[in-house]
Amino acid sequence: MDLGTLYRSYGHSVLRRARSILGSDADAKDVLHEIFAGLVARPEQFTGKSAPSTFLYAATTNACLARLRDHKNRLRLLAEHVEPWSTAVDPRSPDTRVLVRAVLAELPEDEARAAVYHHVDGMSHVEIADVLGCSPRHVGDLLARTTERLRDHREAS
Amino acid sequence: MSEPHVSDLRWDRMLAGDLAEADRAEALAHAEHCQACAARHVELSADFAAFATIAPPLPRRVRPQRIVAAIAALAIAAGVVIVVRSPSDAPAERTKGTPGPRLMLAAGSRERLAPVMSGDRVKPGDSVQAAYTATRDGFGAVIARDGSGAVAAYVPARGDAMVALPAGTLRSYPGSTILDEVVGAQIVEIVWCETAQPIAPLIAELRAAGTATAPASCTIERVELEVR
Repeated sequence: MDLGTLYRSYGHSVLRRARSILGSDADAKDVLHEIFAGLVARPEQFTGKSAPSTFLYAATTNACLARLRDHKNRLRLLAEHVEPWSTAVDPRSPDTRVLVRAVLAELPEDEARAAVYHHVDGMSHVEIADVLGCSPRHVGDLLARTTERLRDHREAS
Repeated sequence: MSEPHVSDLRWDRMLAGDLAEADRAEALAHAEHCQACAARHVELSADFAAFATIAPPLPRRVRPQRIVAAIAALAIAAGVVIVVRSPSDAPAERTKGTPGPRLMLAAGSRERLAPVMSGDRVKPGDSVQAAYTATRDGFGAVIARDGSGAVAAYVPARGDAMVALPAGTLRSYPGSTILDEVVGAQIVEIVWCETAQPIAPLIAELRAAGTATAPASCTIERVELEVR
């Protein structure tokens, strides 16, 4: 698949997911540009071994988490963008998603990724396992740990 | 236990045409009796369609920018005059004092693109790339009819929505096209519009009449090449 086709086919999902995770349209556009500019410069990044959707989901999640882990960025994003992620028709729980976003930068890397795929994208354990390259059972463990952390966070606040 | 909702990943794969038929049928069947997923499907489909018109252009390598600069230099050296054809019955609406876009076509090997004009000869395997200079943002497409009479959009590669073209000097239309083995007269029409227009009517007109009429607020540059 050439880059132009990849951009037209999946650019919208990169933008939407980045907007959901970061809560900022401007930052989401930066992530979109960052990912595709990287592919233009180094097309060998996408080897074709995984599905294009899997590759771009992982690239978007990693780029967004990197931004959230930057302390200054995180403070700015949380201060500026307090609106919930979900839309009126979204089947997932807005409360949980807001909570996940609040603690996302504090979670260990693999838990943060699993939390994004589960709570932001509504993905099943099998789908998450495919993107993370692990077993569905491991995904279950990661999400269980995140649930415990969310419970602690909720009780502490 | 209730059936799990369709994830965004599955909808995204389906919209991109990457979902297996059985998975696609399963997702649509679920959405038929799940109001939330049906609504999410509609929402993401609209998002997918909107991206074609609001998306920033695909980031480009530095090298193609050099190529475009080289095209400009070659155009000046060769004394190329870009003739912009406006529709005779629907004059382009332009803001007073604001010049219209200048459209041009380049062709050749990927490493050596050069400006081409009507009557120029190209060969199968050559790349064709449209470029423009515009003082304001617009939308565009590149449509073509080859020697066999087949008509297709070169830009965008698919869909009926024009691509966004930000204002700038000698910027490339996104994507170049490599000519196939069909020889003969190749008509290329470069379209620039102030507002996004559907491409299907332009393609239909080019197929039926051999030329497309520019809609209001649009400009078309036609280049007739000889492929052999």
